Amino acid sequence: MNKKIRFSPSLCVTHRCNLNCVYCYQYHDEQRRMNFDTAKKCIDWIFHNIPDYATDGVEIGFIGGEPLMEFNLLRQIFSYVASKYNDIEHIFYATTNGTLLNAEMKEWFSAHKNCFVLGLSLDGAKETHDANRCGSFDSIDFDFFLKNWPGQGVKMTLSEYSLPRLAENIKFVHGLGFKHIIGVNLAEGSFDWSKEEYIKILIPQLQELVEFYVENETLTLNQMLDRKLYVCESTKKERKKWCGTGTGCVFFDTDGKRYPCSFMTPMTFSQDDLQTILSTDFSNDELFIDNKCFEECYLYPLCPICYGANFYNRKTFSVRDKSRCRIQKLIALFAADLHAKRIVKNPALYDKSIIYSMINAIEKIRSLYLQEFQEYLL
Amino acid sequence: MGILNDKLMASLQIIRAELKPAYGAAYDGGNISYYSCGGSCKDECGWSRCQGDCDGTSEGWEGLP
Ligand code: SF4
Ligand code: SF4
Repeated sequence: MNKKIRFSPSLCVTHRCNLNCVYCYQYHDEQRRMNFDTAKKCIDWIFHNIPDYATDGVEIGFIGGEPLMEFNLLRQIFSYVASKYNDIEHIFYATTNGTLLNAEMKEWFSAHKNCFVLGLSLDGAKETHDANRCGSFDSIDFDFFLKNWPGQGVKMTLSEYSLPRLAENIKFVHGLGFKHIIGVNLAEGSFDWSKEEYIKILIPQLQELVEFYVENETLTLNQMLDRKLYVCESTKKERKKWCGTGTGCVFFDTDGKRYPCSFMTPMTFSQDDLQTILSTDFSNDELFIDNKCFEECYLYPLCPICYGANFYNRKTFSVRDKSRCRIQKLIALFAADLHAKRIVKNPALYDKSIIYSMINAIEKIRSLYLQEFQEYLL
Repeated sequence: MGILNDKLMASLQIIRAELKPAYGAAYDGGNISYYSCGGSCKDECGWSRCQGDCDGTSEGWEGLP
């Protein structure tokens, strides 16, 4: 695994998008586009503010809207950085819906594939992808992505439509040749996760995925199941904010203003909410800790939270949405089952230093949560 | 089959018992860093692509040069 540590700020080059996906929460203000002068100022700021920990230079991420709508600007920025900061190690990354890549763009990106990486949003097989993402499946050239960045993953977002097809879609994406699947989380979309029906829908999907990932033991697990259960056994529970929002993360909006991360921006929040957000002291970890979760829940170290989504849905950074607890427990149970089966099948896949705690965690998760779901699992 | 069934749990216990003399004392949880998630990105957004250190830096995915 590549372990380079880079400063990775993002630039929002446009609020425009050519799609309108079912779960998208952004306002797509057509007028908001970054101009080259603003981009240069952002780039200068970035290269003059590289933190000491970033020992391997800078990774500049481009976000939108759909960043490829501003292909010319991306090229200009690329040349500007090459001419001014070539002595500092850097790469570029853009998340794209993949639908706008024409022959000219493909040629340019292929020529620069070692320093400009494209990450694709892909929700699964055609039927699901089309239902979620405006019928855009056939506009994506998967081979282009796989050929240029063979180790790169895709970002998968869940919708009510995709949930009953989760396993099929994940298998499909791996089958195409993508090794990593990120996203697959409970933060996006407008689910009411407390609904019992989701439990019933998810169980067969998770069962199928466990079987698939045990059979394909060297595949990297998708983000939903990739839980490092052993961290729950740690005796050094730290009171820390999980992600880098407002601290390590830096996001520049189209007008060059800085925001805490790619979620907490004018694309998502009203001016009133942004005022509250921007007056928050992000370096104060205490503002981001749900004490009840921290004190009482075994899954706390595993239970992911997007503070932006939490604030969006609940107007608080700290108090977590407990309507998701049952689903988190269910996922933890299946992650435990998956790791248990992989360990028994081939213990050599696991670092010896973690197997012991992993097994303890599996036992604990079983004893805490299995009973609760027994009626569905029979 | 079933999830976390008794047979599976018994097999795990055997593996753990074999590990214990060599690793048990050292690896009983005490020295596992809370953030040694080693690849499970805590960014629920999946955008900042950090792996492990969770502070907004990029530790690089496989695939990133
Ligand atoms: S608050 Fe959410 S979107 Fe922002 S960096 Fe954290 S996990 Fe990502
Ligand atoms: S599962 Fe529920 S109680 Fe546990 S940390 Fe997550 S939100 Fe809190």
